[in-house]
Amino acid sequence: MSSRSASAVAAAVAGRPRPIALTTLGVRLLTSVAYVISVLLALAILSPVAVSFWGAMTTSKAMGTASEVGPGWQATTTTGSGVFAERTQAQTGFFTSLWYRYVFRVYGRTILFTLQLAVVSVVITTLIGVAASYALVRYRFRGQALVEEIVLLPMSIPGIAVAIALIQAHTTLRPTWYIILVGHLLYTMPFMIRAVTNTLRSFDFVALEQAAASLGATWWQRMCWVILPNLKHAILVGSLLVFAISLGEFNASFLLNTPINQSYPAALYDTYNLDSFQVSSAATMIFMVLLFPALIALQYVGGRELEEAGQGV
Amino acid sequence: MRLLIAALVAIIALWSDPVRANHFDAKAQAEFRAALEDAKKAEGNTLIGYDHQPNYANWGGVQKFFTDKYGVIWPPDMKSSVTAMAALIAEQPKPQASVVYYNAAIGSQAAERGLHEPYKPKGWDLIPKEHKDADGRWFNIHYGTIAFVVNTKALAAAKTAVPKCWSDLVKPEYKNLVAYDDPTVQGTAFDAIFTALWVHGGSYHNFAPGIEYLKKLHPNIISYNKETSYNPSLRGEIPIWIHADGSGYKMKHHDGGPVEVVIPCEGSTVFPLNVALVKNAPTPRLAKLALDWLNTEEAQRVFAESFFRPIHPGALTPEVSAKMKPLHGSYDGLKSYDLPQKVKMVDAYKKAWIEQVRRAR
Amino acid sequence: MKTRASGAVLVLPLVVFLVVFLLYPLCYLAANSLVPGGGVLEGRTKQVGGWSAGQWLRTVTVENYVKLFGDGYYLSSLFHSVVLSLAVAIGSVILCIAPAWVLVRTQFPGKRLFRAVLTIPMAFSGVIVGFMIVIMLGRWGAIPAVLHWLTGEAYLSMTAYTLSGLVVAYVYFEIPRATLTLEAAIRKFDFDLDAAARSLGATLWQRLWYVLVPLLLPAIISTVALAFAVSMGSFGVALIIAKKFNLLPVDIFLEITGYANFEFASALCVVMLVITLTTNLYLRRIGEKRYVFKER
Repeated sequence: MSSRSASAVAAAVAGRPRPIALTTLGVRLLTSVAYVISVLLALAILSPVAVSFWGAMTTSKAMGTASEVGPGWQATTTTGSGVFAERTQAQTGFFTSLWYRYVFRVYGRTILFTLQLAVVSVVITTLIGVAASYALVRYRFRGQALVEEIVLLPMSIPGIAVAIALIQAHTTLRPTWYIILVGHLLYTMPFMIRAVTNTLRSFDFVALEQAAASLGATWWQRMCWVILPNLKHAILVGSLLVFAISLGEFNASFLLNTPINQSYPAALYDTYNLDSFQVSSAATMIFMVLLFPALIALQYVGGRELEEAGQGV
Repeated sequence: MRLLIAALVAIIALWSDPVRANHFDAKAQAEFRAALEDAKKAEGNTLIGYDHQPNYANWGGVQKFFTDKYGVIWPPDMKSSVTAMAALIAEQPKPQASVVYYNAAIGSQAAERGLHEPYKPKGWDLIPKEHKDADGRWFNIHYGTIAFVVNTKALAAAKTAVPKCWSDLVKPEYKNLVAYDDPTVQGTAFDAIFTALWVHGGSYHNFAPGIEYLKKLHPNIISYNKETSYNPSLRGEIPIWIHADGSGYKMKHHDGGPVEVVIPCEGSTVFPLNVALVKNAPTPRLAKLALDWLNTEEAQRVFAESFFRPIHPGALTPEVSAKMKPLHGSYDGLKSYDLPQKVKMVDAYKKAWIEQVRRAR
Repeated sequence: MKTRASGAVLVLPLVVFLVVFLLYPLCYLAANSLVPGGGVLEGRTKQVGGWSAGQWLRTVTVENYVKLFGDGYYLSSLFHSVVLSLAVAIGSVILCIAPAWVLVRTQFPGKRLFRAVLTIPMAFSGVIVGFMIVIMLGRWGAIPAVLHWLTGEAYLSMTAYTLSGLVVAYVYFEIPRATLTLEAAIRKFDFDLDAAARSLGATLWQRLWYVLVPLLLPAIISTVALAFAVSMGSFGVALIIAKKFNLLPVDIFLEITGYANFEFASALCVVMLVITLTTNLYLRRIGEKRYVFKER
């Protein structure tokens, strides 16, 4: 039903000549305003990314001449005698990969560790999360709603509080990297569970299961051939979400880091304090490169699960 | 006869010169390496320490030098003096670090709270008495002077002159141009407010002159950073940073920043920095060897490149010394203050600062 | 019986994990907040925790809470955090109605790309958002640089560290969440109702106010609740930008790392927890109860 005809009908019904143009004009105006705001928001999001992309690959000399206002755009390599040669090297030419090489050299181990953490988080949340989601949807038992609420609890609790609680309660675990893993799991589990339970609740899998059982399938066969294939999509979306969130988790991880094992966002914070704008930009770009594949995959893969899960993001 | 006297004089001179006697010669180095290899086998090759900020006193360069030469990984650590002490307190009885570096006042506090294991490194007798703890719980490795680290380009952009004195800083034209780190967590910043106290006529018991001055300075302060402001200062986000002179010289000569150091005209103080072995350290043998190394010529020389004055006077070469020229003011007549008395008033002064300066809105 | 048992087995790992690593530490946190504290400035030497149940019962005290609520400084931190988070939550949700609407109700090429761009800040941690704001609005930010080039005066320099900069940073952080949730809500909205209202002669304003907003309100309220909780806990942004403002997460961080005053920090955490949990639960309940517009 187009708005024009509806308005015409409305005018006829109401008996008053209501100007059709005004209504559509109002809607058009609002929609244009919405467009403008959206474009501005998109620009606002993209521009710092563009600026740091630019900074990460230009030499200090280039940045220095680009803006009269900024001595801060000069290179500083601040970790001691051995690195001075790198800095003078940066003064020639316009583009350089020096900053990226520097970040990889200093934070390479941290990057690997963060990726490992993310992968381990995905594996563990999948195993525990899928099993638990299945049980929560399939069976009715006391405390079912409570369990779901408690799983979602970390999302309402500031990460720093969770980190402090963990540090104090588990002092033996504190010096190891397991405690960082626990922090990540607490914050990523809700997403996996939400994605899977929403999918399970959206189709009548019990009927499917019973049909399979009536055909003689064992419990294990029913899981592998009936349930899990239908959950593939949800698990994929959940894994991507868990991966992305684990990579970027800072609030809890910052306090849980040990001197030897640091997650990458904490290393990013160090570069913002320690290093020049160029090095920080390079480190940030590397983070985005690690993160974007997951986010883009989520866009293309995710459908309803993303929206449902995204409600809690 | 004259030859005999000359020989006697030479012998006496050599004997009484502690620096020349403390050789880290080839034989000593070989012994050191052997001991390191042994320690590495027993404890692995990672040494964790607290408060090794790469931009402070060239710890970045020192640790890189140590790792490259001796193969022991000694990662940087961004904790400040007080944060390091707090971490050691929180991690009892099993701290994660084996070595720790602090502002000397904080280090003495930590020693008094039983956080250190007494250890006298090789060459202990050669450290002057005032630079070490009688029981071996800490020893100084270098000292700095409180100064204004001035980013001249940022000041020029703000169309303001370079300040020369403490009294300049409180003038209205310096609004939002001055900063010092949070003295309750950063050791050097504590020494900054300690200097403000003495320069304005205060004492170990009379905090009022210092607090009055800091209250007057408060409106001109950008913020009290809990992390070190080295990078913001170099970048020009903080045009005037009250910090150690060594940081300013490093910015000027090594990092190529438009930075000058100003020793305030009313005067300043000298403050030492110390290291210690942590009690119940996870890698005590590596830590002890590292502490031995910090007391050698080699380490003192690498540290001196950061423009912090080493304890071993000979380690400060003329080339380095020539670069330590402030834009205004001079080092004449500056003195260090009595550490035991200083340690007693640290907490009280910090609390006075919090109540009357920080929270006065 | 067998199905019950397998259900229990499947959910057991999760329950064990939650109890050991979430519920127990939270209870420990609350208990520790009732232990007399003290930081390095008060001469603290004792280690973290390490008290037995008997000791706890003997020394239980509310002195940490008294200090918290009695000291104007911590109250102001609390106030700043709550007000800022609330303002940001409401502001960002209102702002994000625009892109959510555009995503649902309009068609244009590159819509997927547009959505992808909007969700970029989603997995950024707070530190990165803080960095982004500093490079745009710090003393030598890109925007002041451009303005300087255009006009000769570096306007907006140092805005990053003011209250406006803080608000901008937090809103930046919240945009993807708010957009996605509102998009889902608008998608669920039955536009036939809108057409019905039009057919009854309602003006645009009446349609907006009496049809659209009430039906979207549950989603808006729960998004606001979530955004509030996220902003309260957002500590990375505060670390980098909130130089002149005292905010609660940064205070907690300082109490722990700077002063080792775990007991007092626990009390601060408990207060923050209570605030975020209750607002979250309360707002969500309001949303769900009054406007039953869910497909059950």
